[in-house]
Amino acid sequence: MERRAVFRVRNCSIEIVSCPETIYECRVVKERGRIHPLQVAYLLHTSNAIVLDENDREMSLHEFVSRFSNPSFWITFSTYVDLRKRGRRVEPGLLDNELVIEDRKLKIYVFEECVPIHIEKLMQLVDTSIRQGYKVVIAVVDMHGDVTYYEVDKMRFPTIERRV
Amino acid sequence: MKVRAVVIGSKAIVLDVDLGNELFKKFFGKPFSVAKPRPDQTYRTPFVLSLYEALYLCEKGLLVPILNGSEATCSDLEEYCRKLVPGFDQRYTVFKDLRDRGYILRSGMKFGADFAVYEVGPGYEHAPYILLVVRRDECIDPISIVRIGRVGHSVRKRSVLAIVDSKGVVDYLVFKWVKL
Repeated sequence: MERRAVFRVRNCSIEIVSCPETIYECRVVKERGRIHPLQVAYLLHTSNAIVLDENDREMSLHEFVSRFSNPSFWITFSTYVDLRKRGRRVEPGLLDNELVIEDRKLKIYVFEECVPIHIEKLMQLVDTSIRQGYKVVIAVVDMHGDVTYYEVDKMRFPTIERRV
Repeated sequence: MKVRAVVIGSKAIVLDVDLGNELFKKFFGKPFSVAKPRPDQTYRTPFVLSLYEALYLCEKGLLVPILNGSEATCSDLEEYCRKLVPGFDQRYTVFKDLRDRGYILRSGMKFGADFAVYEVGPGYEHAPYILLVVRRDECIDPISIVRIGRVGHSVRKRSVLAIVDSKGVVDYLVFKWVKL
């Protein structure tokens, strides 16, 4: 019996052929009803999946990533792999650079060393996540793919009464 | 009390020692060439104010700036600061916002930040916060976040990004290095 997951790529979408529940990503897929390219790339990377193209030919990670990536894909993938290595139950989020650890109510936004972050956008991400009841973490990926995490929170400075 | 301060470069110098001491006890300025002064002591030396402190005191009606040898208005001083210091406006907005709330702001240069922020005051505690000031409509290099985040962690301070919008409203985001 195939212990790896099997996916098929058809018209730029990913079809699930089989996904054994011994694999964490497959259990997430069962709950969510869809697979994300990041999860497929991770399973390919860890040899837990085979991906077939339209001609039933096995795709390599390189071929898969070339077909499904966006500008944030590799850094978000690096962060996904880093978190999975640490045993975190992470899932892809709605945005290209967003990951979610649901059991810790954490949203992780991935940025790259030297690629500027727009402050307005950062504020919006923090505001929205906090409103939804999540804590926010920024993951900064360096030039070699190493990840550093910073928890971000809004704060206010309460007035201090001073005796003058 | 109305202090005369001679503006030289990016400093305002108070030569009246008594008034300088009076200001220093309220955490404005620093006695010249004294490494770690204590506000409960008196110093017989000129006092050095930052331009932020000078403008703040001027706007409170407590300081007269002397620019190019003659008395100037607060607007003159503000104009001078803008020309001299890039990003002065947003930094001053933050300075004023926190000073009005009772916090003491000193240079954050040694921590790679704009300000070190005290709750009790320098000389009585280590600054609990370091602050980097940005405009809401600008972009920031993630390395700046890493820099203040790491420094803040190593010197046990909270690293804060002060975000100033076009209306002068300030939001604060605190960053904490986590291992996840």
